[in-house]
Formats: sequence, structure tokens, C-alpha cells
Amino acid sequence: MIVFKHIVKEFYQKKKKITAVNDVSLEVQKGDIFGIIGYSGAGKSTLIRMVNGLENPTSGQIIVAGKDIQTLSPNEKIFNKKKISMIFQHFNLLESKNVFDNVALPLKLRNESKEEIDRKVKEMLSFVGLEDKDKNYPNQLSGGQKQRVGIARALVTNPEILLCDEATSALDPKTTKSILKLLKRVNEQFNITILLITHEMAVIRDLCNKVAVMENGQLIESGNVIQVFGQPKESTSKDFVETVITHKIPKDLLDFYQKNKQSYTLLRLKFLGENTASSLLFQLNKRFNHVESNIVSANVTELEGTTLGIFTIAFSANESIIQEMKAFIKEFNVIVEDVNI
Amino acid sequence: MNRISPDIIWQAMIETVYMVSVSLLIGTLLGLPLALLLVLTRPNGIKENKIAYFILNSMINIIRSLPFIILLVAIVPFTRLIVGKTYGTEAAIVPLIIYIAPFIARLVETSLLEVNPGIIELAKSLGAKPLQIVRHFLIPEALASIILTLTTATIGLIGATAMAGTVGGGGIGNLAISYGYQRFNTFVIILTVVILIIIVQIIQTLGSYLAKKIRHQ
Repeated sequence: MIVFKHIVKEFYQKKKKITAVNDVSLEVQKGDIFGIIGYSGAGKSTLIRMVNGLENPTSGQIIVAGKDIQTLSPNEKIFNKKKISMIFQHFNLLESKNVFDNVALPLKLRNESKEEIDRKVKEMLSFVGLEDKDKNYPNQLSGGQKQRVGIARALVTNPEILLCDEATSALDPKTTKSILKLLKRVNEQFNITILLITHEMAVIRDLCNKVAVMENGQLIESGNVIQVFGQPKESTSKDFVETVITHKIPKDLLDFYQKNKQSYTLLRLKFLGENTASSLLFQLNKRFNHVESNIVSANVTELEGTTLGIFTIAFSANESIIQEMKAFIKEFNVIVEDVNI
Repeated sequence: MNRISPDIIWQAMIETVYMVSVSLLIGTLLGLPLALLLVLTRPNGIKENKIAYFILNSMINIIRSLPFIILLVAIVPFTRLIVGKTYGTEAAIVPLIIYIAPFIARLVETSLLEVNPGIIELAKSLGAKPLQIVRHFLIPEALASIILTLTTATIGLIGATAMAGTVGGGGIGNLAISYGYQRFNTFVIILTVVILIIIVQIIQTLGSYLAKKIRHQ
């Protein structure tokens, strides 16, 4: 649906060259909820703005719905934009217009008839749960309601792609959850491909099926959410994952195992998707019944409808037994890693 | 002649209202498009054009740096060309327009630049063409501020009309100068000042009220 090929974006600030996006290649498939995460200044905002032509790449190709958008004529460009909608961090509602007129605006630009506008706007307002607020002005709405208006305005033109530019970053956690739920419905009910950027890993966890991590203009890691959450490779990715899945060992336990390093070995077990933790732990304890095993930390997270479980377990066994246990665990398709303390 | 008849005051008020409203109307008709051109052609504007912006910007600065009384005299030949005479109320209106149009352009430019850049980004993301951006996004969002701007311009115009007496424009300000100041008639000075204060108060209150109504606050 959206393909980025070797995208580079350079600009000059006070005669100094800044590379905002550095050779990024990425593919978003139809129906994906694709999240790009990175700290501010990572280049994600520049990247998402290229999809609807708010920014142009210095070099590289962007293919949206099968068309290289830079080779399009101005008319085709505008037509293409109509298939792509965007929602914003600060909502960008017109303060001078009420909710109905804000949502109607994209249709007015297309000179649609009054009846059509009326029907579509009402339909969208009821989809986002604001049918009774049509006469209100933006400054009478809460942040969450404002973003709902933004979403209604984005959907009223029947887009194929929805771009979300930090759409929940100005909202509190509870409102964020309800907006994310709404976006999930947008994806499922209308089969709209969503490309979002965020600096919050919780947004990726709760909404996305695919994720890309950006740092200093480069794409450092990307894949299915469950993969990246389960086995982040780069240190920035690990930092992001740790913000939502903590496998930090509590301090007093850490002290204890550091003191008794000789008698215990700590292993981290990662259960991805369908592997159930309980069955493995049962089998493990049955097979190695002479080995003492203590759970040091555990975390189970729901991702893409399946579960990711991360357990840190201390085993009191010698090196050869530990190797035997690792091999046994791997037979269950469970990832096992050494934990250094 | 120390006495002043109500007729003279009434006549002066009519002249002031006439000069201010005509020059405000035409000045706005000229100033608004100029402001839009400034905003569109400015660096990083929607239709960036360095040459057009430079010419427009310098012209406005040059006219705005002339004191009104100098402008009034300097453009006498031009005034004659437009209204066929160089003396009287109509002859005063021409320099008033030339004085106020760049002033309005500058003030409206500021109002337009205050529009949240996110709104322009939204407009572009919806594929709006430059004229649509102006009509559906820039002007509605800046309207309240533009009304306040025009209020300021109107009050500035009332001040300028006082000097229109130099070319026989008449008006309240002229009354204050010719009947009051030059004939040492304190009563006339106080009377005309009171009238001016009342007019300014009414205009400002009306402008603020309209702006508030448009802002929906």
C-alpha cells in the first residue's frame, strides 16, 4: 500500500546540512496498522509527511497505492491526497467552525451536494460517538472529543490510508486508550490502512501489528510487533520495549542472587504467541524435579491478540544440567536467554 | 465669532463619517488583497515569490513611512487625476485611502500570520488549492482578528481626517483646529474632543463585540 524506497531527506539550517531521513526503506501492506516509533528528532515526522506530499524527499521513491507519487501530475496528486487522510497531535480543528462544519470541510472542498454532506457528516459523527455535539465549537470540547472530530473529518472522504501524526501524544492515558480503540475499529470496520508515528511504546503495543524503530534518521529495526517486542535487537528498541514490558528484577531479589551467584543460574524465557507458559513450566519441573526453580520476575502482555510472556527464573543447578534444561526449553519453541547480574 | 451652531457640528460629523467610511471601504478592498498577497508570497508561504514579496513589502514600507500631512500634499497631482479637484472632502478621501490601505494590509497580514500553521498543514493534507486555502481556512480563522484590525484602522483614520482640513476636507477634527485651536475657543475644542471620544468608544466597543461573537467564546 505504501512503499518507501531509499528515502533521503536533507535540509539546510543556517547553512548546516541536516539529514532528517537517511536511506529508509519500508513497506506498509494493505490493512496494516503500522507504527513508527522514535524519539523526537528521529525523522519519523518528516517520513510520514512525505506520504501525502507535505514534504518531498531529497532522493528515493514513495509508492502509494501502486503509484510513484513524485511522478504524478498536480491533478493526480490532489486526487491521490483524497485517498489519504491525516489526523494530528494538536487536532488542527478550525476554531471558527462548529463540529459539523469542521467535519464537512473536506467534502465542501470537493463541492459535494448539501444532502450528501449532511448524510456523510452525520454518519461519521455517530461513528465516533459525537452525534449530539454537532453544533458545539472546538473550544467547548475536551481533547479526546477534539481528536474524535479529527478522526470523523479524516474518514468522511472514505480514505484508503489514515496517517496519524502523534495522534494521542496530547491526551491523557485514559483518553489515549479510547482513541486507540476507535482507531482499531477504523481499521477493522472500514479496512483502512493506518500508518502512525509515536514516541509511546504503549500505542504500538495496544494498536499496531507492525512496528519500525527510527533513530537519527535511520530505520534501525522493523518487523511484526510480537517479534520486535519479544526479541528487540538494537539498544534503542530494547529501551522502548522496556517502557512497557519490564523484566527488571526487584532489588532485594537481585541482591540475593548476586550474593548466591555460585548456586543459581538465571534464565529469561520468552513465550511468543501460542506457546503457553504453564505447560512448559510443568514439564520442566517434572523432568528436572531435583532442581529448585524460583520465578524472579514475570510479565505477560497481550499483543496482536496473542500473548507475549517473559519470565526470569532462577535455577539451582550445575552448568551441564543448565545446558540440558536450555535444550529442553528450546524444544517447546520458547526463546531462552542468559541473564547476567 | 465665538458661537458655533449645531448645524456646523452636524455638518462636520457627516463629513467625518463620510470620509472615514469611504476611505475605510476602499482602503479595505485594496488592503485585504495586498495582505493576502504578502502572506502567500512571503518566504515559505503557500505561493512563495521572492520578487513579488520584495516589491510589495518595500512599497508598503515606503508609503507607511510618510507622515500623513506630507502624503496629503505630495500626491496632489494624483488626487486631481482621480477626483478632478484638489480641494474638498472628495479630495481628502484619495490621500486617506493611500494612507490607510497599506496600514490595513500590514495589520491584516499580521492577523493572517497568526493563524495556527497546523491549519495550513491540514488544508494541504486535504488537497486544498491556494485559493481554497485562503477562502475556507485562512480567512475564517483570522476573521475575528481582522475585525479588530479594521477597528484599529478606523480609529487611525478618524485621527488622520483631522489633517484633511489642509485640503478642505472638513470634519470634526478640522472643526477643532479651525474653530477651536486657531480662534482660542476652548469650548469648541472640548466639545469636539468629547464627540471624538464618543465616536472612538462606539467603534471600539462594536469591533470588540463583533470579534468576540465570531470567536465563539
